[in-house]
Amino acid sequence: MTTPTSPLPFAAPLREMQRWALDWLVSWWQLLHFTVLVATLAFAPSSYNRRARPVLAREIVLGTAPHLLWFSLMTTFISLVIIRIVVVTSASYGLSRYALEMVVRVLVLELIPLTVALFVALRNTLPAGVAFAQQLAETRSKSGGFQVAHSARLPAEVRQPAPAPDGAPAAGEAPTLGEAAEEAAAAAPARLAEAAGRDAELRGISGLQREFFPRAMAGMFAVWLLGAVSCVLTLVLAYLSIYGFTPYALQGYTRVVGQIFNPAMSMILVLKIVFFSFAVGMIPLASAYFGASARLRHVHGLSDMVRMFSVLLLIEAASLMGNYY
Amino acid sequence: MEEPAVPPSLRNAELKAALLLGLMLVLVAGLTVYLLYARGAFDATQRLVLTADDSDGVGIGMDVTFAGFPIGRVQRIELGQDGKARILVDVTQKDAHWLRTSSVFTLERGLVGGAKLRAYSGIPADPPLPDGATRDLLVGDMAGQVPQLLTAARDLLANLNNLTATDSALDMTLRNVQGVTGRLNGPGGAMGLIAGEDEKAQQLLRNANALILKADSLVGNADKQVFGKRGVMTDTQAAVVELKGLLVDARASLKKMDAVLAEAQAVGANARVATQDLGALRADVDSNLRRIEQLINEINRKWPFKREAEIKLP
Repeated sequence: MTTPTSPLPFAAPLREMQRWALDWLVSWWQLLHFTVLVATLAFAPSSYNRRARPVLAREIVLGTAPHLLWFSLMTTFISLVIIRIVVVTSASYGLSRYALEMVVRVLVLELIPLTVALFVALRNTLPAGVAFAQQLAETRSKSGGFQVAHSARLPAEVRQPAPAPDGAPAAGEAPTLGEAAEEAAAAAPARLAEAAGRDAELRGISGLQREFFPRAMAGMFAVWLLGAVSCVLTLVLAYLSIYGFTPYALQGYTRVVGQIFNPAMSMILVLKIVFFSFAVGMIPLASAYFGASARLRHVHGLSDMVRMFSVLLLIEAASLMGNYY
Repeated sequence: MEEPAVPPSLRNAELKAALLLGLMLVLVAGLTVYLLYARGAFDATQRLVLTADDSDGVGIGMDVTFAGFPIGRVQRIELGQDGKARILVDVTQKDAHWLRTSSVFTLERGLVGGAKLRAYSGIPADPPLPDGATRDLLVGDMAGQVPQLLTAARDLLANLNNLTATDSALDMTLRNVQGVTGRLNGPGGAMGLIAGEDEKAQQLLRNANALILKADSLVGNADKQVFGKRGVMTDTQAAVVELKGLLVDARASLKKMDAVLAEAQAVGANARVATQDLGALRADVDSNLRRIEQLINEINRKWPFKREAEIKLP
């Protein structure tokens, strides 16, 4: 790093700004890079072979099943409240025949995908991404080998510290002073080299495939599944709220829903959910993959959250333009 | 690298993941099929073409309703060769029998809400509408009539303004009426209104007054002449009394006359009877004479009595 030799007084802030801008651009590029890498892995058959399937299945189940019931209840509650508000308001203006169309457009097309994305992000991928990144940082900083990060997901009583390959203290155990420290200091260069090698391996395709890809897929799948569940749930709730428990309004209801979901709208809805899933699944992991840049971020998870929210907002704006412009 | 150990709490992870995946696929496929059904992809349809001058307000996917029930959907809107808008509607086969060749199709645009396409069938006995039929669309536009209404209202208001303006005929008339009623309520009252300020008119009134007084005295005199003690009416009354007496006498004499006439009538009756007898008597006499004549003739034959009047000379 060369020291600034220019006598200009504002050179240092300008240089700071330049570094900041470059870091910012580089981080976005890294996100794009990571996304493309994971997408490539998604099309590779070896990502789904017998060795990778247990991990993938585990991540998917852990990322989706605990939230399914709770999310369904939350969606039900929110949908009922909003449907009731819309129906009562439109009835007070004498426009009750437009209530159903408005409910379906507002809830199913706009609110539900956004709610699903935010829910999965806040409850699943963001915390998991932060924990994973911390695990990685720990294992990188430790002189020991790379530990199985999956153990971090287990309940506390089942968690067992995996044995370090060459006798280094396990995570959470403070190294003792004295002989062990001297030993550690003596073996440090070799271990560092090994750790660096493992880190490189981690950065390679196999690490990506083994660690990052299942988590990303789990996040995406959570968004898809919860999105489908909540869309169906909202449609059913809209019918029951407006017409009650009678089958005779089904024909009219089906017709209105069919008129709303023309091919353009349906495609935009599907694309919106897919892009939301990409944003929610990939962004928390991308920064962990490339390593933190100390200059940009203070708290690992917060910047990811901000970035994810801005991407979600962009996607939402694009979908609104596509629908109504 | 070590194999990650799968903990026992997630033994059937693959199965559960497969179930979740299956659930998502079922939901997505179900939604897709439902939406296809909702958009009428599985209905057999026939084509109906509606032509209109202005297809503003009609959108793709809009319903065509019959008696409030949707029977068809707009598939396409295009501009025809003659410059008219052509609306291509797909009518479901199971509802197509409601449309007849004499059916009427309307496009109604209200002030609030979108346009509505409606079908009406007046004569149910007509043959059903064939596939691919073209019909004219009758357009009713509420919002388009508002400008006409506003123009008419503006004209009306302008006329009203003219009518009630400060120097208009109505205003003058009302002002005159006001003056008249003021005069009526004033000290002169109706008479003052009629007479007015004119000297001649007042003189006329004074003369009329004098005339009335004279007529009054005239009437009094006439009254005395006619109905007074020696008036006409009294004499007339006396004359009438005399006449009554005369009439009574006349009646008495007529009664006597009546008795005389009755006698005359009896005489007449006798005369009639006698006349009738006279007739019989004459007939009788006539027959007798005839017999006598026959007798004389017989005697003459037998014994001529008849003298020769002629003397024959030797």
